[in-house]
Amino acid sequence: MLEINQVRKEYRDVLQTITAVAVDHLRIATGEQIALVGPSGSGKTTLLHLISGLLIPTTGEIKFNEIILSSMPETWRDTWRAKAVGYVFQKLNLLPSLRVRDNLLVAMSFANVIPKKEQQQWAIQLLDQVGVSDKLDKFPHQLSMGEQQRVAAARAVVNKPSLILADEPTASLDQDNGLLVLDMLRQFAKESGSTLVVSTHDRQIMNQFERICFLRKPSEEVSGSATSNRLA
Amino acid sequence: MRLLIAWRNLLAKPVQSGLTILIVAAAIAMLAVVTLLSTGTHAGLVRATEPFDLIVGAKGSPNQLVLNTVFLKDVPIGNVSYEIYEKLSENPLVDSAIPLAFGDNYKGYTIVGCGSDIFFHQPKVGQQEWLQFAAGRPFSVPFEAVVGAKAAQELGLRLGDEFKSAHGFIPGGHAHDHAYQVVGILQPVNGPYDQAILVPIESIWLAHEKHESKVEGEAIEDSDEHDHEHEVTAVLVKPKGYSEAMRLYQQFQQEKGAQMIFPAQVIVQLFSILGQGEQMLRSIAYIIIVMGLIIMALSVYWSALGRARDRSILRSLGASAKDIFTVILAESALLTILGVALGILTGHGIYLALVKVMESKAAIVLTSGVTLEEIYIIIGGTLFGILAGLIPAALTYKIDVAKYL
Ligand SMILES: Nc1ncnc2c1ncn2[C@@H]1O[C@H](COP(=O)(O)OP(=O)(O)O)[C@@H](O)[C@H]1O
Ligand SMILES: [Mg+2]
Repeated sequence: MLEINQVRKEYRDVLQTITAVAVDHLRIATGEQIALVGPSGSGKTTLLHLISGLLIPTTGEIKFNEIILSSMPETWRDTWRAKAVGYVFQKLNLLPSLRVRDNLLVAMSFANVIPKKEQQQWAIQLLDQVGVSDKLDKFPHQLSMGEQQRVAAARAVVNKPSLILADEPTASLDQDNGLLVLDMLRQFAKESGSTLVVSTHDRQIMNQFERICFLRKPSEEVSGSATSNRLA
Repeated sequence: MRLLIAWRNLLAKPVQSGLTILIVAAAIAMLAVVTLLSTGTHAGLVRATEPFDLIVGAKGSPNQLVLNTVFLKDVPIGNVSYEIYEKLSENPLVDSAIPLAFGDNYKGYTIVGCGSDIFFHQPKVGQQEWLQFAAGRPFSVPFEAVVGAKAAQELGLRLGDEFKSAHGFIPGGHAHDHAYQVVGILQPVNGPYDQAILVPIESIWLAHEKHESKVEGEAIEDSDEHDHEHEVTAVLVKPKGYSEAMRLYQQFQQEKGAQMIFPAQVIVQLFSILGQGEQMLRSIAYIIIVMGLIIMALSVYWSALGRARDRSILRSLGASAKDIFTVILAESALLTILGVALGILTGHGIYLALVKVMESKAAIVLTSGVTLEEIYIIIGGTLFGILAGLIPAALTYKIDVAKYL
């Protein structure tokens, strides 16, 4: 169970305060698949960062299985993120200095979920599933963007996480590849009973989901009502 | 895995990493060479003087006396009368006294005229004799020769070979008539005497008498009668013990025709002169090391700054701030360890080359192998490298993770 209560993330500098995201209330049940929808700048990325514990909210709380993430020490959040969260970033964020195979191995090394002996085998199996088994020892820049995204997806599920996050998987690249990656993530989440949160502003993708959470630019809300998000 | 990441980070900047390693290596190599050289020369010099407890020779520079008696270099100051040797050998404080005479060479290799008791000479009581035979036997009559290991090898002398000595200390002096026959070849003593040719002291006297007689046109054949006229260049004295040595030394202060010296003491003075140059080189090496480590810290710092995004990605994969710290520290550690290893290897290489030169030029056999000080350098260098690595690690491990993702 993922629970978001009265969460705001603000960025302050000398001149102004920017509210990057504001969410009143959002509950996502374990195993549920949900689309986060909103225009550019509405705070989708910020919210996914908050959910993964990479950011902590300025106000409000995010609870994962009744644990308030922001109340835990940073090292706990690191370990939790390693073991329980799989995140396909919008910018993919593969480590450029590591080979494709090592990008998966490094994620496993921080999580310690997969036994050491099986890690190599498991990495190869996953990379085979996403169709890059012939690029195991290439560096990310030697792969096409589509291939890189599939590696990023494989890395996100490598530790069999209970929470999978994907940030606009169809936005920057070719649509088909994005859909393929999304299918793979949905399939994986379904089989493992993991929760899946996908951000998008793509109608076609939106329509695949039974549940959609709309985000609006918080700045538009400054003078308006406190309710900035609606659940579909 | 953290090591792999650190390693890859270094490989990503091969020139910067390579240069850093080279600087650290250069400093370590220099320090290693200075250290090895000083330990090696000290040990080599000490070993060379070991068989010589006390030396008696003509008055003059003690350094020169040591140089030509122990190291077979330089020209002797002069001679002392045979009487002095006789008095010494009868002195109750003396365990043994061995007369030595220099003055001839064979192809530049010093011919040492000496008493045959030199073959019984033990540097330390109860230990093996100093000179051990590889082949043959000690000389027993004049004009037999026992050749040092290196001299035999380099001159190609074998048992039964004959050679004619030349007057003086450098090759090319005019030759004496009488030929020497090789009757023995020594095992290496790892000192200057490996390059010596030992002959009965009487041979030297005979050769020189003949030589003089020729010049003067006289014929002197009966050498025994002229014992009182014979001279020795030096006497190698082994006192009965330490206190006897001191008493002997005091007694000898009154002696007008000769001086008595402790070679070990002369060597110690030499060390202090060498020590000054050594100290300077050492200081330079330390300065280079400090500079090298600063450059390394900066290099790691800069490349870490440039990889903020990589570190954010690692954090997003669940790496803790401590893991990031470890990775950056591991980069410095890897650079240092590689630099130190390369430096030690290079240092030993240079040292071995120098040893070869020293052995042929100075006849001192330097020790090789890892010295204790070198282990300190290895440990110290690595520790300081890691310590220096703490700075960039501490400055960069905390980052605004989300900013770069
Ligand atoms: N680190 C930051 N500092 C200041 N403003 C930020 C920062 N991160 C995001 N924002 C702002 O927050 C808003 C939401 O950003 P983001 O979460 O990236 O939206 P989306 O992913 O929906 O496009 C944007 O207006 C953005 O400029
Ligand atoms: Mg975004």
